[in-house]
Amino acid sequence: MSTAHRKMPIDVDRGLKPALIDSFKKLAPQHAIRNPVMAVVWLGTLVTAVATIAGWASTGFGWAVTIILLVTVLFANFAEAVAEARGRGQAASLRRARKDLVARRLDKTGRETSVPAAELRPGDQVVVEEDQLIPADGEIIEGLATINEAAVTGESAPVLREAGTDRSGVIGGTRVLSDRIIVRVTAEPGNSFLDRMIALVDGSNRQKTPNEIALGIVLAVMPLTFLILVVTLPFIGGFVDVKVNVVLLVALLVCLIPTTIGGLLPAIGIAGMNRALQANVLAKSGKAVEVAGDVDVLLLDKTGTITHGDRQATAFHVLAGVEAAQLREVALLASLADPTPEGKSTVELARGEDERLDEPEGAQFVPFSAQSRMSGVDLPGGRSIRKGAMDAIARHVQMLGGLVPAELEVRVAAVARKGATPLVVSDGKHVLGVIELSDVIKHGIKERFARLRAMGIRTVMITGDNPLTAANIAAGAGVDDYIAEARPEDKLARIRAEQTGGRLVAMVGDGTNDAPALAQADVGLAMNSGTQAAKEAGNMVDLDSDPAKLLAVVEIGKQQLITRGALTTFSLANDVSKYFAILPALFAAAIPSMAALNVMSLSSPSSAVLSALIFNALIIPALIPLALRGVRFRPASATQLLRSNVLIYGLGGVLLPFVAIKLIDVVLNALFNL
Amino acid sequence: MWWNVSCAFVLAAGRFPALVIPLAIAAMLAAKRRAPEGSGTLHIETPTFALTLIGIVIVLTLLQFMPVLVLGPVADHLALTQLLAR
Repeated sequence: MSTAHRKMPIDVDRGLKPALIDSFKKLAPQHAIRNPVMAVVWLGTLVTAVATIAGWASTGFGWAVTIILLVTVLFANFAEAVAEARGRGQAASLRRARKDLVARRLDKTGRETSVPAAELRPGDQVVVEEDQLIPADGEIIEGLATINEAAVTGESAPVLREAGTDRSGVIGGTRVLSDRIIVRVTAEPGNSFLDRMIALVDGSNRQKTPNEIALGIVLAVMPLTFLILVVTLPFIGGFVDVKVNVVLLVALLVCLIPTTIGGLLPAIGIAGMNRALQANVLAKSGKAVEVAGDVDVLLLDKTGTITHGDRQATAFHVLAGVEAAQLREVALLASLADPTPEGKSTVELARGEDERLDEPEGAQFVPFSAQSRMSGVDLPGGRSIRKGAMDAIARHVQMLGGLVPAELEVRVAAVARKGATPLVVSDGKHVLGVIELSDVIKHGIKERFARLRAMGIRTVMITGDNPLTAANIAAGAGVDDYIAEARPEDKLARIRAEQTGGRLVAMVGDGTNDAPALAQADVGLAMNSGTQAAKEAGNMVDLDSDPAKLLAVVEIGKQQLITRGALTTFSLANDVSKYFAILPALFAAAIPSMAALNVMSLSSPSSAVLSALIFNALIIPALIPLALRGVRFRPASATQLLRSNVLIYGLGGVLLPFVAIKLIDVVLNALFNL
Repeated sequence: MWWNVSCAFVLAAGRFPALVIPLAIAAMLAAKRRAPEGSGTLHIETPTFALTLIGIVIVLTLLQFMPVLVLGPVADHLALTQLLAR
């Protein structure tokens, strides 16, 4: 969660008016039937309307109940519409990034023609140069380039993409900052990976999560049992000579069925995906987000996740006959103008051990290029300082007429054996020594793993390193377990083993070799910087390419489950007080002594029923913000979470309506003198 | 005779179909894979869970039976106390 969290600009005001219109459109029977709880309320509205017209209840009271019921349904529709509008707003802001582009297509003979990006087909090859936008999703087949993906990811730091590596994927609409690349288009225009993902976010074809389905069944059965209760009540009442009004029965039914959760359930589901998107994670379904909340084991690739993908200078190794200070000075000179992480960390390391050194006058910086594979500086007077791969430096030194000492190979091999990268430094025709570049464990990663552990998630590091290096990094990063010298099939085997043990597994990866594991895992979080195969295999893509983002996804998933549970509890707990409002009113006419049950001392039976119904309706919009935001979540044991939420939403749900219904009753009396 | 037979029939109809649903749920749960216990799973042997469960059972039962309860015993009790007070 460390990288800049660019919040998607959500235009809530713009979403409100269409949402209002949508709430009326959603009254259509074919939509209403999808939500059984609200469908019952909708039907109840019609029954009370008919009953009022037929004169079975007093006109004023009958219409009041009818209108309140209709408003209840509208509020529930509004909750869903608002959540959908927010999702659409986010999708629209993502789409805005994709404008009409002109592509420079290469034909078979290598000739260039300018065509609109919309005419590109998969397999086409296009040239993209410095300061141009990449016209479509694709893979680099030639060259390497730094690319600004801020338009899509919100991350301002440029990223490096190179042909033939795990990071060869490029996204349409992003800008090339340096170099020239040839890209093979992999997606139809308008059907690129992001387009499809954005369409899913739109919520038009949203999948329901297993949990949502289970809760949906409970919510469908509950109105059924209450329906039996309400239908049998007049007969039981008839047995003891108590007549019950139809409108009152409908009111009782509506108050009993869990309308609060029934109305907010779709909104909660959509909100989960939206919150993931706010964290810059595109989820293919809300299902994936929610499953993330139940994850037991997290597998992650070491490089780029636990350690910085870029290597940093950690030590200097001097060759025989060379002063340590000399190597430091030369390494510093070679790196002063070098903007890469290697260069910066070399400067830091050299300065940390020595006094301050500044860039000399007239120095000419020689940047790193993929061909020369070294960088450095040319000083006035013909002194050329270089650092780079061993063979490149050896060639450079030999070209200047120098000799490569035999000791160098031993030093380089020693560094390489540790799992680090050796960088050879030369001054003119003399080789001075080796800079050791090694993967440094990311700052704060230990705390994040501790947080995951507090949530009950074990972390397993996968690395190609030898067991010794792996054990070192594992201990330093605080992971629970590690697999060293891992091959792709090892990852897959580990995931299968965990799954047979009944655990839910999350996998974070970016390479094509991660794709099978991403597909096998219950939650596969692919990095946006990764290859197309990895992104297709996973069920979520992190636009920031920050692997620790899984932590955020897990929290969102858990939060979603808890929100749903909390609101269900709240909804049912509310019923207790509604009973105390409605039951005395229901039988008041026949059994006057029933007034003893009127614990809230509501002024009249009809105001009691109306107050309960108004509370029932108002609580839905009142809880929309909570449904969209989710209940507060902090890492704690499941028992602690249950206790605090039962106290807040269970006990609170029993007590709050007593106060609220009484208040509404007082207001109603003041206004209408019922 | 008719009373006995019809009563038996109603009793059976009221009791057994209702039992099928919990049994079906139990069968579904039994078929699911077992999740190993960890710090992230809910421990059911705690007072918190016990009280929550009891609370839920009481509330749900109350919701289902309170109207009939109010019509029968509660109304009876209220009528009696009123008679006695007179």
